Amino acid sequence: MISHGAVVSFLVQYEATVEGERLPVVRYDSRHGHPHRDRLDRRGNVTKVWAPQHVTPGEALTAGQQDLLTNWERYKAEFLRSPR
Amino acid sequence: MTQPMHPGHVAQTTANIARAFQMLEEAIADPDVLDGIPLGAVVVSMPHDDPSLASLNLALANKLTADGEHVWLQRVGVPAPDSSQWHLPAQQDQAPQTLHLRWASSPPPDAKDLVITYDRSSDTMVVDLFARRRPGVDVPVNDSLSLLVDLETEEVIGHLVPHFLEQAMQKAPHILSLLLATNAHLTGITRDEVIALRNHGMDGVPTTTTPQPTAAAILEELALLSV
Repeated sequence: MISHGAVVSFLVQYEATVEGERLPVVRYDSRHGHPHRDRLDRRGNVTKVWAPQHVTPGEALTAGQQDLLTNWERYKAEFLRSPR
Repeated sequence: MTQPMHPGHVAQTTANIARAFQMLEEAIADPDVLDGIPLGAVVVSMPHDDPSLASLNLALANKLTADGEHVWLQRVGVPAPDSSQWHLPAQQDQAPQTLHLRWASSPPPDAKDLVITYDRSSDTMVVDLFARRRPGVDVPVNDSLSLLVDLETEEVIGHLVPHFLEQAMQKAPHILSLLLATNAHLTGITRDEVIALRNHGMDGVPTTTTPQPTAAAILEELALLSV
């Protein structure tokens, strides 16, 4: 969601296609009070990491972009190794 | 045990993640870019400045479509057009003015200065008397002819002929020869197609034209459209 040209809320999710099914691997989300990153495993368990308090949604979105570009391959590999 | 990913796949995915965020930035700057994307569609980026990635993504889109996905191709990284020159006539149009049109006194039109442009899709021909050196606005004379006018000097600097094949040829059959001039730039039609039209006429009747018209002949032919 954008207000006056600034990001006030967002949800960006990286999904991997596994055996023909698209599954969420990691998401960057600001909807529950404060920006955070959720990493998921194949059972749907979520590991949540909150952004520092001073981080704005726009800054969190930029940080999420950098994190995903740098680490998506590792996140996917760890997701695939997780027990079903 | 998971297999290592192919380096090409890793590079394409990394590039597409970056493009997804670029698309997001473009949507933040201009939410209209999201218009038309169907709900539930798989959006595949078509980067304007990376033809090889666009090619790979097109193959990906074809595969997704074959798999039954509803795919939407979204262009990203398209530079905004430089519209400053477009605004100029619009700004000048805002101030009504009475034009006292006159033909350019000097230098007189010379055949080498004439630039003839024809676009088949819009069926429009433009004859520029000053080799595109002077900006102008079009002033309609009738359905078949507009004059290009230099607003500063009020001189006629060219002609614009809409409905060229559809209407103008009926009024001035020899006008087709202008498209065969050496300084004619054709889009959407070839010289051979023009020659075929010239030889057989739009209604199957052969027309007679001179292959390289003089400037005077061009202006004489264009004058037929003003009545």
